[in-house]
Amino acid sequence: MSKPGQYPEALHHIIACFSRLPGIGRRTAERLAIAIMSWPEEHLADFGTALCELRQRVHPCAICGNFTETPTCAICQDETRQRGLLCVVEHASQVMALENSACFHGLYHVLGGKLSPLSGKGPDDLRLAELQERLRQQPITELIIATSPDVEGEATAHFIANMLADLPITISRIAAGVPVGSDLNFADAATLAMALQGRRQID
Amino acid sequence: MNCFIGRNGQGKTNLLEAVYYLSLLRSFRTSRLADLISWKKNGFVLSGQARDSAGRPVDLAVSQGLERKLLINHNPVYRASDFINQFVCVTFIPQDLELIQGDALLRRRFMDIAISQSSPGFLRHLQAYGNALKSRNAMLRNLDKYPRTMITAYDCQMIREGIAVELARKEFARDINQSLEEKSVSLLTAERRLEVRYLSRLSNLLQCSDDDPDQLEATYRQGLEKSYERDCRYGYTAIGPHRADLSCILDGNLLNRYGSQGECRIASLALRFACLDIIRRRRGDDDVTLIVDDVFGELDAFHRRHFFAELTHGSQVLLACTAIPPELGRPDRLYNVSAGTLSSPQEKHEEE
Repeated sequence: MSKPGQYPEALHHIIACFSRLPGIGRRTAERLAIAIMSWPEEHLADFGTALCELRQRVHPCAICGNFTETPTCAICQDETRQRGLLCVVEHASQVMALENSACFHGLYHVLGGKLSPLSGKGPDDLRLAELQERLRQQPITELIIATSPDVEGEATAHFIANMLADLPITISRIAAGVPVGSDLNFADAATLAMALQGRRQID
Repeated sequence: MNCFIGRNGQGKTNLLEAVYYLSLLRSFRTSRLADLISWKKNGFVLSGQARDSAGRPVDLAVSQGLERKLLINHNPVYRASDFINQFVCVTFIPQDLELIQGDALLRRRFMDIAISQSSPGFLRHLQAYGNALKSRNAMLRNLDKYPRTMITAYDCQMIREGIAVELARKEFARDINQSLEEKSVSLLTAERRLEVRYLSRLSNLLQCSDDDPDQLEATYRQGLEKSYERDCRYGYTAIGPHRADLSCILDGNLLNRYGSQGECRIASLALRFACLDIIRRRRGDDDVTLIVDDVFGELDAFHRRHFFAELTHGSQVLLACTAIPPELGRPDRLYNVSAGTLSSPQEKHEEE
């Protein structure tokens, strides 16, 4: 029995589950849970099965760390990709973002985060050994480091560049600056400073 | 000139604090959020209207409950850095005495707030530096987990941001001195000479290579390398802008050691006026709100006269006191503050 003024235990449980998600506060969690209550039975069953199966079916790609349902992901299997080009990102979701841009045809390597002593993440917590192994075994000529442009992301980029300095490959860092199609007025001071620093000559 | 009069404990300072909070999202009295909230309440709401440099009204609102919400012209703003400094405040408060006599931390904060009020990009560097420093110290305390190479990778970030902070502060100290000399803020009698000196081990290291950024970076890196062993032992980074200080010197003597209470008070006011001068010059805009909370009690009649003369130079002034000091003359608007409420203003012209 739940006390007056409290949701029944099962509903309360669902609300607690939702509020663990990023960006979901207590209010939103309540709204989501109550919306789910009114779903038809088969939708609910479908949702439940999908949740249960999620971790059984989707796992990191054995090579790059991207999400996949097969041992290696579709990108790693794709013979038409430029196999000399490797882009390092923090999270698998960023592979999706880059893929949707359809402007990169190389391969990826997902680190699983960035070096961050304040959240207890050191080199052993990222997929760095796997990266070194790949560079030994695969004919990669250029490594593009696409970690985020904050202190941790920059430090991670530096760390990787130093770690691989002896290898005969080009190591580059993605540029940072004004978003395309946007107005200079909307860019903040730090972005503008970076954009000015990374300016290039018009040829 | 707006004057708030009331007995002790009626809420004058609280009102000034609210105005300051709308400008900087912090109090000049405390850094603890709980200290800003009424007893037995869960939060507070503040709202006010400022004017931008073109004179257009800007509505500002803060509501602080379990989380903080910021609104500019009724639209939510998510980053504090986008909210602050919609209007700029300079304070003259009793605690300013600590600028001279207190911990170096307070002088670093004084510099950092003043610089961020006048150079918008500075805050970002300061935050990034703080983040890199905290990360480095965390690594120094757990050397089994974090290899030297990772500390080196963070050093690069720390050096880049540290140099930006250091140079901005040195420039600020230079500007303060220039301002103290040129305007020789009339508070100080002509024959007395007040100056500040920015002190930091890092600056000593960097002195020889002031202008060349590559040279600065190399020197900074050598400094970090040299103190690495020591840093590991203490789990703390020994050099950098976080250890700097700004010492105040009156006629060649360190004020915090040799200054009288009155001299320290005068110097703290002079620093604030210099700071005001810098903010105005850098922003190219005279609109600064001056918050004055009963700081003239310790001044003699001569200094008081000069203080008020200096104050009335053009800005909006919010001044709280228990009685109007005779040197002030008649304020433009006079409010009575009693038990947390404000009387309607008495305007100057009505009675003249």
